[in-house]
Amino acid sequence: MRRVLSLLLLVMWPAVAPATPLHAPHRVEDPAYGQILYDYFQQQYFAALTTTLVALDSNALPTQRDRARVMLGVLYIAYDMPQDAEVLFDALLTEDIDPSLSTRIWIHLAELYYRRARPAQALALLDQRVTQVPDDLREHYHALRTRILMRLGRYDETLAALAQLDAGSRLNAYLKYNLAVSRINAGQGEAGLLSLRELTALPPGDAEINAIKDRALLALGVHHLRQGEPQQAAYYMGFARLDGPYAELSLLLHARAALDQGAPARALGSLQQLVARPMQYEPVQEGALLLPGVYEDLGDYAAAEQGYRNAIEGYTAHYRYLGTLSEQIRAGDWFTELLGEVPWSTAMDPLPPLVPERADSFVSFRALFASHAFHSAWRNYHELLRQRRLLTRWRAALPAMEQLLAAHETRHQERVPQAHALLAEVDAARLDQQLQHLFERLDAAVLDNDWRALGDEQETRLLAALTEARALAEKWGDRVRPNVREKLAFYEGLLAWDLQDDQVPRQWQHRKVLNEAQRLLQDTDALRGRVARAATDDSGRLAQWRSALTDLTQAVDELDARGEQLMQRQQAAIETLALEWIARERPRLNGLAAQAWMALSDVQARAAR
Amino acid sequence: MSLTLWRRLLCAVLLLCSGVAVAGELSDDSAQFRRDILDINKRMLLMEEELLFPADTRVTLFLSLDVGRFFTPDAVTLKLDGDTLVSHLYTEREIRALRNGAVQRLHTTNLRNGEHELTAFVTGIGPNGREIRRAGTLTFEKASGQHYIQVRLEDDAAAQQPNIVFRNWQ
Repeated sequence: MRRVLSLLLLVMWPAVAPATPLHAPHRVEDPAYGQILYDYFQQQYFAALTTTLVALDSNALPTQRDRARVMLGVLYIAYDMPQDAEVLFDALLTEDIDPSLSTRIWIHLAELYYRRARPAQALALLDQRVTQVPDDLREHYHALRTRILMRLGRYDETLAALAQLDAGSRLNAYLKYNLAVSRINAGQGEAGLLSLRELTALPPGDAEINAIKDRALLALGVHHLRQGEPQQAAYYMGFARLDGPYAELSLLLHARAALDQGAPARALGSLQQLVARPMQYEPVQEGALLLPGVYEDLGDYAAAEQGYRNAIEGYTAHYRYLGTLSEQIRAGDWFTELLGEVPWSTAMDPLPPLVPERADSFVSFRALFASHAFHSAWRNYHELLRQRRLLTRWRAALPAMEQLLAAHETRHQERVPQAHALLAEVDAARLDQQLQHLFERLDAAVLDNDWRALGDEQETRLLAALTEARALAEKWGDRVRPNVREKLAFYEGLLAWDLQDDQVPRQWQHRKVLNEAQRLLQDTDALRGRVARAATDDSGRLAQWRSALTDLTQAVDELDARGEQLMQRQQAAIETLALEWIARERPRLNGLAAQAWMALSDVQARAAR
Repeated sequence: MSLTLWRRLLCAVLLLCSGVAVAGELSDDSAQFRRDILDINKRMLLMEEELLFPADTRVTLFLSLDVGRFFTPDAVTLKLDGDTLVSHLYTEREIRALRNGAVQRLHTTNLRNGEHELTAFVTGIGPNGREIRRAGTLTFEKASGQHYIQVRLEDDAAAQQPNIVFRNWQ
């Protein structure tokens, strides 16, 4: 299993998420932007995309809107939507955005150009537009520049760009391997070999590093065999691991190197080990034909005859198995077995890694599973699956949303009459007029120096009582005793003295109370406005929600139907890949079997002589 | 070259071209589907939030980790007016994201206008693997409109301990 993963990782590595995030820490000002980063740093690109779109749509990014839009572009790239990323970046560049953001955009645009096989344009962007590389994009920038220069065949500059990357990193090793092979293919053998040798000297690392070392050894072996240097080839093949993803090919090359040196006995061990492995591997199929030939060379005709028979038996069995497999593929059984039970359930989770060992056919399809075409198709199928699960989740949520909306509508219908009644009550009270009248009375009292108007409740009551007593005293005339009149006059004088003594503070106090009341009245007006708005705007908002919910229900149904069709088409595409692979494999097996039959008859004839 | 061979070649080329075209078409359709899914997902989320948490009563709670040199949070619990609102246990990936400057949207709830008390309890690991527990309380006035509260776990370099700092705004 580890071997398989190594192989897959190595082949798919550039397509897999970057080892470090493209956006490193920087100051978060809008929490909504921080929330986007929270999903992004956990490589939950779909969730991050949704969070970004929601934040942009709900105006939750007052200060970091442009930064979030750049992030949206990066997420589009990560989510395999390069066209959307390019459109967004182009739009951003026409706007007046922060120059540091422009630099980021140029780097990401260059990556998009490179992916679209426009390396010259990509390099021009990097060299002319990017004057200072942001620290967090440094590795990404140099890796991209290395790839571009390599694609352009400018190998010396590629080497200089590669030197900017951490020497012990997987990225460096991977790019160095590609550079070495490119140089060998371009006729710069020595330079390429030097890089390959450096790779083989790397200390043992993780599965990816070890797989790169294996590939470097293989490349060296193949090169020396092609150059007619079997001793050198055998030397490098001697270091190959017997449990790595390229173990079978290494064993075969080791045997060939021995045979090319005219030492069949040395090839024997490698070939015996090789043919003990599953016949589904191509090197094992070739080894099965090679081994009896070695026995022949060594004069062991019986072993040779048996070897050819074993090979024929293996080819035939595998040929038949591929026929059965074709039927299983056409019936859809193979795909169901391959898919197994998808281990994740939450629609926002990242996609699961490819774990295809469940299928019996895994060994046969090892090379196919490691191909970019299969991996893309497989990933897309799972993405569609995830998206349909998301739709299922929304479909399940729609009735609850419907109930919620109905509850809002009911509450609104109950509240509207209450709101109208409240507004009518407030209007009927004419509070503003009452307050205006009070201000006028106070102004008049101040103007007329009317100290009687400034008494508090108790004083006003006393004043009224004294006025009434005075009126009675006047009415009763002489019947009122003089001392009572004096008392009355004394009390009147005392109250007047009290009221006049602090007339100014009293005026100020009354005005303060009225001003406070005026402020409260303004608050009441604001509340009144809100109640009025709630009674009218909420109706509009609820109508909008109702309409949107109806649209969404239809859209979910329509999308789900489209998703189902797309999944079927994607499954058919994956099955076609497998069938095409079998269609190529079976004639090859036929050819090998024919060679084995001919060799068998030769051996038998030779033995008979 | 015989006519049959030409025919075969032509068929092979057509088959190849149709295969490429079908693959391209599927890829285009899938890309459009992705766009539509993202759009509907956004609309559904916005609608769900509007229905569950109307803007007038909505309170959104965020958590962030400022530097985090002296503290690695294990769990956080938020209590609002004495009732537990939310508890969260952190994974390594989440901690890494927070350390890189991300902000976690911890919870969204509805609240009546008026005074409320929010208490944050945080447990985690401090310098030398020492377990650290911290609590902080914020009294805030909820008015009409959306309200946001950010719980920030800040490093106190002098004490080599974390501080809980609240930031709230409307």
